[in-house]
Amino acid sequence: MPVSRQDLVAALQQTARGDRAAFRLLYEATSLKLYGIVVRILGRRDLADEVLQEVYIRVWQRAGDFDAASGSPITWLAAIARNLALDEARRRRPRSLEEFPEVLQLPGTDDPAATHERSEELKRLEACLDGLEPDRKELVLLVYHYGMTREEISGRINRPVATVKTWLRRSLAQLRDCLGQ
Amino acid sequence: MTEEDDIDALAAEYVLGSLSPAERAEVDARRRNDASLAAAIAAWQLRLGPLSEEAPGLEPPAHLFSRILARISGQGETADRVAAVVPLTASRRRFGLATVAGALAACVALAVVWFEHTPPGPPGTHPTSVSCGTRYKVFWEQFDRQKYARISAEQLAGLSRMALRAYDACEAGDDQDARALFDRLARMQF
Repeated sequence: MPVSRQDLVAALQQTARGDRAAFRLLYEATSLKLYGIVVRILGRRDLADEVLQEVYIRVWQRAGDFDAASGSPITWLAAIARNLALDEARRRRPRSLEEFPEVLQLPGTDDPAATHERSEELKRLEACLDGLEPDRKELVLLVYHYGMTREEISGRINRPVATVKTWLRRSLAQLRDCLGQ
Repeated sequence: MTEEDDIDALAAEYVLGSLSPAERAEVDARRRNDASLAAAIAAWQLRLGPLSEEAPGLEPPAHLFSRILARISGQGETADRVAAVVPLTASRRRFGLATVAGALAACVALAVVWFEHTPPGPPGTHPTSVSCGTRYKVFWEQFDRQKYARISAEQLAGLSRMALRAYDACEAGDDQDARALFDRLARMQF
């Protein structure tokens, strides 16, 4: 259900006041996205079901912490989802390499439906990501979307963990400098 | 590499998600008391957050929302009571004895409501939820009621906030932090 950023902000503010109808609207508008995020990091639907419940319970409890001036509602919600999913994934380590998809379906940059929805912030970030070496860019996206640790990446690309760490940190520093914020 | 670079790199990897379980736990514990680390994490969340926009969605099971609603039933009251207690420190006004008594009643009621409405969940999935509610309840039960008369409203609000932080840390699975906070609470003298 496409809902504007303004609608989401209003729904979050009403949720903070204990409005269950607004909370339901928020869930209907965002659960598709958040479930996608959580499933990719955890790789298991049963765990993802549990974590998604925790995500929305936290949203219910903390909706008042959302500050519309410092970010979009969907990135605020996604940060909660990623955090809880990463925490759960880390509790269940180690994952075997077989748990990762053979062909990594990173979010498509050629999906026409997605193109017009992209925010200015995302376009800027993507331009900066394009400034990285292609394999470094993939590394960054792999970690972000699949929550892979340095150790897991090291096993996957057959490079020492220290090398992976250096690559990641250099790529991130380059992104920061490119974004200039 | 300066210490500032180090903190920034750690925050960047924390938000990206590449830290090992041990490092992640360390950052979680440290960010609560380290303002520069917390600020660096917030900045990285703003930088990388937009990537979530392009994540493809997936339909969650239909029954999930009713389960969420069932779990927040009873928590609405809890949230209202938290809101009533927490602004005590925020406004830093002077409070009379009546306010302290009100806050006390709210704290005790909150502890009880919270405990009674914390469902155990399916076995094995939420190993901490019962013990977190229990630890929270036990803290308030053991807190001698006479002590309330001796401490200021501001101290009480601080105490309440610390207990909530301990509960939150416990709920978040951060046992080390939760234990440290509960221990500190238990040792407090007034």
